Amino acid sequence: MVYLEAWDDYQKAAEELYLRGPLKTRFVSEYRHKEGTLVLKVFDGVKCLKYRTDKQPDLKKFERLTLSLMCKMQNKREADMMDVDEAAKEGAEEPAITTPIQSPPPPAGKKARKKKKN
Amino acid sequence: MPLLSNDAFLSQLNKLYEKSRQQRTVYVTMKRYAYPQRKDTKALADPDTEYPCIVRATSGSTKISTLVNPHDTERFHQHYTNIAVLHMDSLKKKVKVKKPKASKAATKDATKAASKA
Repeated sequence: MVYLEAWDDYQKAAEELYLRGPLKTRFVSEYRHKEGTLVLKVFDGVKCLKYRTDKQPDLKKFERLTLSLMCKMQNKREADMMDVDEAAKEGAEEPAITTPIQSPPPPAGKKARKKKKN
Repeated sequence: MPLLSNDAFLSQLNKLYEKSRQQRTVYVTMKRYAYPQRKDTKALADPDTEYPCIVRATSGSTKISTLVNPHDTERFHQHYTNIAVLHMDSLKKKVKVKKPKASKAATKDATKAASKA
């Protein structure tokens, strides 16, 4: 059982470990609400890599790693995987990808504008 | 628990996270699903073979699972991370969430006006 401290090292090592044994390797996330901890684990039956965090900003990294590993599990090409971010920035180029739904502006802003006009 | 569709799985996962707020741990496991190809060495050796991804979630004695097909990945991932981030709110916050840029000026004026009033 190995806990890695640096995220970049962890992501790299996790992806490498997965690619070494794609049929055996699994990716587990453990979340304990009471303790406020999130533990990520990549295990191939022999080697186990873990990362522990209690910080909210790490969730973004967790999202990215999840997507990357999911694509590797499905054997999707890297290019497809990157499209998610690019599509969000440049607008969807491929018809297969649905354009991200833009969240409507917060209601507070609208009210504020109305107030200002009056 | 039988295999659920992606949407059913996500709504069950939502409940699972809610129920586990007091003491339990939620485990979400992801793995390549290559069971149909297990004896087909050609398919396994082919670098272009695409597989579904099996996602299992357990908490206490509740177990749910789903298969995510390659063309559903983006949608599933988006919904899954939304749910996860929504419920993982006992983690320490470091940076405050920024307000959207569009109505920045308007909200500034509004807060001023509001504070005056």
